[in-house]
Amino acid sequence: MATELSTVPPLVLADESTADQYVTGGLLRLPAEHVETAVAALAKAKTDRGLSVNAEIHCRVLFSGDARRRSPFAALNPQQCVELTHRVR
Amino acid sequence: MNAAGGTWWGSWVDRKTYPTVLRLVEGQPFRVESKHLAGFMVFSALARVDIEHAVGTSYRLAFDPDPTKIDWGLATRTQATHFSRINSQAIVLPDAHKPLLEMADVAAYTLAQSLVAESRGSSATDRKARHFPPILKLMQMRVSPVEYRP
Repeated sequence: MATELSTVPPLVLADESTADQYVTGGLLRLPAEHVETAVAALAKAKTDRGLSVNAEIHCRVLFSGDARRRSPFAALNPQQCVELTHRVR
Repeated sequence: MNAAGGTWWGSWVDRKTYPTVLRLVEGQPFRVESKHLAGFMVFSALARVDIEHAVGTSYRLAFDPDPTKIDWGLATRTQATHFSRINSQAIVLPDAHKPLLEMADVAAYTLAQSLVAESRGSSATDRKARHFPPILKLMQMRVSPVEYRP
Protein backbone atom coordinates (compact mmCIF):
# COMPACT_ATOMS: atom_id res chain seq x y z
CA MET A 1 0.00 0.00 0.00
CA ALA A 2 2.77 2.40 0.91
CA THR A 3 4.48 1.77 -2.41
CA GLU A 4 1.29 2.48 -4.30
CA LEU A 5 0.70 5.74 -2.45
CA SER A 6 4.24 6.94 -2.97
CA THR A 7 3.80 6.81 -6.74
CA VAL A 8 0.93 9.30 -6.67
CA PRO A 9 2.15 12.83 -7.40
CA PRO A 10 1.62 15.48 -4.75
CA LEU A 11 -1.48 17.63 -4.86
CA VAL A 12 -1.00 21.34 -5.49
CA LEU A 13 -3.90 23.64 -4.73
CA ALA A 14 -3.77 27.10 -6.29
CA ASP A 15 -5.61 30.39 -5.99
CA GLU A 16 -5.02 34.10 -6.47
CA SER A 17 -5.80 37.28 -4.61
CA THR A 18 -5.56 41.02 -5.05
CA ALA A 19 -5.21 43.68 -2.36
CA ASP A 20 -4.30 47.29 -3.02
CA GLN A 21 -1.62 47.22 -5.72
CA TYR A 22 -0.57 43.66 -4.98
CA VAL A 23 -1.55 40.59 -7.00
CA THR A 24 -0.62 37.24 -5.54
CA GLY A 25 -0.67 33.58 -6.37
CA GLY A 26 -0.80 31.16 -3.47
CA LEU A 27 -0.23 27.41 -3.39
CA LEU A 28 -0.49 24.61 -0.91
CA ARG A 29 1.49 21.50 -1.83
CA LEU A 30 0.38 18.35 -0.08
CA PRO A 31 2.04 14.93 -0.34
CA ALA A 32 -0.54 12.52 -1.71
CA GLU A 33 -0.40 10.30 1.35
CA HIS A 34 -1.37 13.22 3.59
CA VAL A 35 -4.36 14.53 1.67
CA GLU A 36 -6.90 12.68 3.77
CA THR A 37 -5.21 13.88 6.96
CA ALA A 38 -5.40 17.47 5.70
CA VAL A 39 -9.09 17.13 4.83
CA ALA A 40 -9.79 15.78 8.30
CA ALA A 41 -7.78 18.55 9.98
CA LEU A 42 -9.67 21.22 8.10
CA ALA A 43 -13.00 19.65 9.01
CA LYS A 44 -12.01 19.46 12.67
CA ALA A 45 -10.91 23.09 12.72
CA LYS A 46 -14.42 23.99 11.61
CA THR A 47 -16.41 21.66 13.82
CA ASP A 48 -14.37 22.63 16.89
CA ARG A 49 -15.81 26.11 16.39
CA GLY A 50 -19.35 24.94 15.87
CA LEU A 51 -19.18 25.35 12.12
CA SER A 52 -20.44 22.94 9.51
CA VAL A 53 -17.77 21.06 7.58
CA ASN A 54 -19.55 22.44 4.51
CA ALA A 55 -18.93 26.05 5.53
CA GLU A 56 -16.51 27.23 2.84
CA ILE A 57 -13.68 29.46 3.93
CA HIS A 58 -13.41 32.41 1.58
CA CYS A 59 -11.16 34.97 3.17
CA ARG A 60 -12.85 37.90 1.45
CA VAL A 61 -16.02 36.86 3.24
CA LEU A 62 -14.41 35.80 6.49
CA PHE A 63 -12.59 39.11 6.91
CA SER A 64 -15.33 41.43 5.70
CA GLY A 65 -17.76 42.19 8.49
CA ASP A 66 -20.91 42.62 6.41
CA ALA A 67 -20.24 39.60 4.23
CA ARG A 68 -19.31 37.45 7.22
CA ARG A 69 -22.56 38.30 9.01
CA ARG A 70 -24.45 36.84 6.05
CA SER A 71 -22.28 33.72 5.94
CA PRO A 72 -21.93 30.47 7.90
CA PHE A 73 -19.23 32.29 9.88
CA ALA A 74 -21.63 34.88 11.27
CA ALA A 75 -21.09 33.68 14.83
CA LEU A 76 -17.34 34.35 14.69
CA ASN A 77 -15.89 37.69 15.65
CA PRO A 78 -12.82 39.06 13.80
CA GLN A 79 -10.38 37.65 16.34
CA GLN A 80 -11.95 34.22 16.06
CA CYS A 81 -11.59 34.43 12.28
CA VAL A 82 -7.90 35.15 12.71
CA GLU A 83 -7.62 32.20 15.09
CA LEU A 84 -9.38 29.95 12.59
CA THR A 85 -6.86 30.97 9.94
CA HIS A 86 -4.02 30.26 12.37
CA ARG A 87 -5.51 26.85 13.07
CA VAL A 88 -5.82 25.70 9.49
CA ARG A 89 -2.40 26.81 8.32
CA MET B 1 -1.64 21.85 6.94
CA ASN B 2 2.00 22.21 7.97
CA ALA B 3 1.45 19.35 10.40
CA ALA B 4 0.11 17.24 7.52
CA GLY B 5 3.29 17.77 5.53
CA GLY B 6 1.88 20.68 3.57
CA THR B 7 4.13 23.41 2.24
CA TRP B 8 3.06 26.90 1.18
CA TRP B 9 4.26 28.80 -1.84
CA GLY B 10 3.51 32.26 -3.13
CA SER B 11 4.45 34.80 -5.77
CA TRP B 12 3.48 38.43 -5.97
CA VAL B 13 3.73 41.46 -8.18
CA ASP B 14 3.14 45.17 -7.62
CA ARG B 15 0.68 46.31 -10.29
CA LYS B 16 2.07 49.83 -10.10
CA THR B 17 5.40 48.64 -11.43
CA TYR B 18 4.01 46.44 -14.22
CA PRO B 19 3.04 47.62 -17.73
CA THR B 20 -0.66 48.23 -18.28
CA VAL B 21 -0.49 47.20 -21.95
CA LEU B 22 1.50 44.35 -23.49
CA ARG B 23 1.54 42.65 -26.88
CA LEU B 24 1.57 38.94 -27.67
CA VAL B 25 4.25 37.94 -30.18
CA GLU B 26 2.92 39.01 -33.59
CA GLY B 27 -0.37 39.78 -31.90
CA GLN B 28 -2.46 42.73 -30.90
CA PRO B 29 -1.83 44.79 -27.78
CA PHE B 30 -3.95 43.86 -24.80
CA ARG B 31 -4.62 45.48 -21.48
CA VAL B 32 -2.86 43.85 -18.55
CA GLU B 33 -5.58 43.17 -16.02
CA SER B 34 -5.27 41.86 -12.50
CA LYS B 35 -6.46 38.43 -13.61
CA HIS B 36 -3.71 38.31 -16.22
CA LEU B 37 -1.17 39.02 -13.52
CA ALA B 38 -2.81 36.52 -11.19
CA GLY B 39 -2.24 33.78 -13.75
CA PHE B 40 1.42 34.76 -13.97
CA MET B 41 1.75 34.69 -10.21
CA VAL B 42 0.34 31.19 -9.93
CA PHE B 43 2.65 30.03 -12.73
CA SER B 44 5.57 31.64 -10.96
CA ALA B 45 4.80 29.89 -7.69
CA LEU B 46 4.36 26.58 -9.51
CA ALA B 47 7.74 27.04 -11.17
CA ARG B 48 9.36 27.45 -7.78
CA VAL B 49 7.73 24.26 -6.53
CA ASP B 50 9.17 22.50 -9.58
CA ILE B 51 12.63 23.87 -8.98
CA GLU B 52 12.81 23.16 -5.27
CA HIS B 53 11.39 19.67 -5.51
CA ALA B 54 13.26 18.85 -8.72
CA VAL B 55 10.36 16.81 -10.00
CA GLY B 56 9.59 18.61 -13.23
CA THR B 57 5.82 18.87 -13.56
CA SER B 58 5.07 15.87 -11.41
CA TYR B 59 2.12 17.14 -9.44
CA ARG B 60 -1.65 17.28 -9.69
CA LEU B 61 -2.96 20.83 -9.92
CA ALA B 62 -6.32 21.91 -8.56
CA PHE B 63 -7.56 25.44 -9.09
CA ASP B 64 -10.86 26.99 -8.10
CA PRO B 65 -12.76 27.35 -11.37
CA ASP B 66 -14.69 30.52 -10.66
CA PRO B 67 -16.83 31.14 -13.78
CA THR B 68 -17.12 34.84 -13.00
CA LYS B 69 -13.43 35.20 -13.83
CA ILE B 70 -13.83 34.00 -17.40
CA ASP B 71 -13.27 36.63 -20.06
CA TRP B 72 -14.53 35.51 -23.45
CA GLY B 73 -12.48 37.96 -25.50
CA LEU B 74 -8.83 38.15 -26.45
CA ALA B 75 -7.96 38.14 -22.80
CA THR B 76 -9.20 34.56 -22.59
CA ARG B 77 -5.70 33.55 -23.57
CA THR B 78 -4.11 35.54 -20.81
CA GLN B 79 -6.42 35.66 -17.82
CA ALA B 80 -5.91 33.82 -14.61
CA THR B 81 -8.06 30.74 -14.77
CA HIS B 82 -7.45 29.77 -18.39
CA PHE B 83 -4.18 28.07 -17.61
CA SER B 84 -5.81 25.74 -15.17
CA ARG B 85 -8.03 24.38 -17.94
CA ILE B 86 -5.16 23.82 -20.35
CA ASN B 87 -2.48 22.84 -17.83
CA SER B 88 -1.62 19.21 -18.41
CA GLN B 89 -1.38 18.64 -14.66
CA ALA B 90 -4.84 20.04 -13.94
CA ILE B 91 -7.30 17.70 -12.28
CA VAL B 92 -10.85 17.90 -11.04
CA LEU B 93 -10.82 17.22 -7.33
CA PRO B 94 -13.15 14.59 -5.94
CA ASP B 95 -15.90 16.18 -3.88
CA ALA B 96 -14.37 14.91 -0.64
CA HIS B 97 -11.18 16.85 -1.32
CA LYS B 98 -12.71 20.10 -2.61
CA PRO B 99 -12.57 21.80 0.81
CA LEU B 100 -8.80 21.84 0.40
CA LEU B 101 -9.23 24.54 -2.23
CA GLU B 102 -10.13 26.80 0.68
CA MET B 103 -6.52 26.48 1.79
CA ALA B 104 -5.31 27.90 -1.50
CA ASP B 105 -7.63 30.85 -0.90
CA VAL B 106 -6.04 31.28 2.53
CA ALA B 107 -2.56 31.14 0.99
CA ALA B 108 -3.17 33.80 -1.66
CA TYR B 109 -5.14 36.08 0.66
CA THR B 110 -2.63 35.82 3.51
CA LEU B 111 0.21 36.78 1.19
CA ALA B 112 -1.72 39.72 -0.29
CA GLN B 113 -2.75 41.09 3.09
CA SER B 114 0.76 40.63 4.46
CA LEU B 115 2.12 42.74 1.63
CA VAL B 116 -0.47 45.41 2.37
CA ALA B 117 0.47 45.35 6.04
CA GLU B 118 4.15 45.69 5.26
CA SER B 119 3.56 48.54 2.84
CA ARG B 120 1.51 50.46 5.36
CA GLY B 121 3.93 49.91 8.22
CA SER B 122 2.41 50.32 11.64
CA SER B 123 -0.59 52.30 10.45
CA ALA B 124 -3.24 52.19 13.12
CA THR B 125 -5.95 52.33 10.47
CA ASP B 126 -4.94 48.97 9.05
CA ARG B 127 -6.74 46.75 11.50
CA LYS B 128 -7.28 43.80 9.17
CA ALA B 129 -4.01 43.40 7.31
CA ARG B 130 -1.85 43.57 10.42
CA HIS B 131 -3.04 40.09 11.46
CA PHE B 132 -1.53 38.38 8.44
CA PRO B 133 2.27 38.74 8.57
CA PRO B 134 2.46 36.49 11.66
CA ILE B 135 0.28 33.89 9.93
CA LEU B 136 2.48 34.04 6.83
CA LYS B 137 5.52 33.49 9.03
CA LEU B 138 3.94 30.48 10.73
CA MET B 139 3.06 29.05 7.33
CA GLN B 140 6.75 29.29 6.40
CA MET B 141 5.56 30.27 2.94
CA ARG B 142 8.23 30.38 0.24
CA VAL B 143 7.55 33.76 -1.30
CA SER B 144 8.88 35.00 -4.64
CA PRO B 145 8.50 38.57 -5.88
CA VAL B 146 8.03 39.03 -9.63
CA GLU B 147 9.19 42.07 -11.60
CA TYR B 148 8.66 43.06 -15.22
CA ARG B 149 11.82 43.01 -17.30
CA PRO B 150 11.43 43.98 -20.95
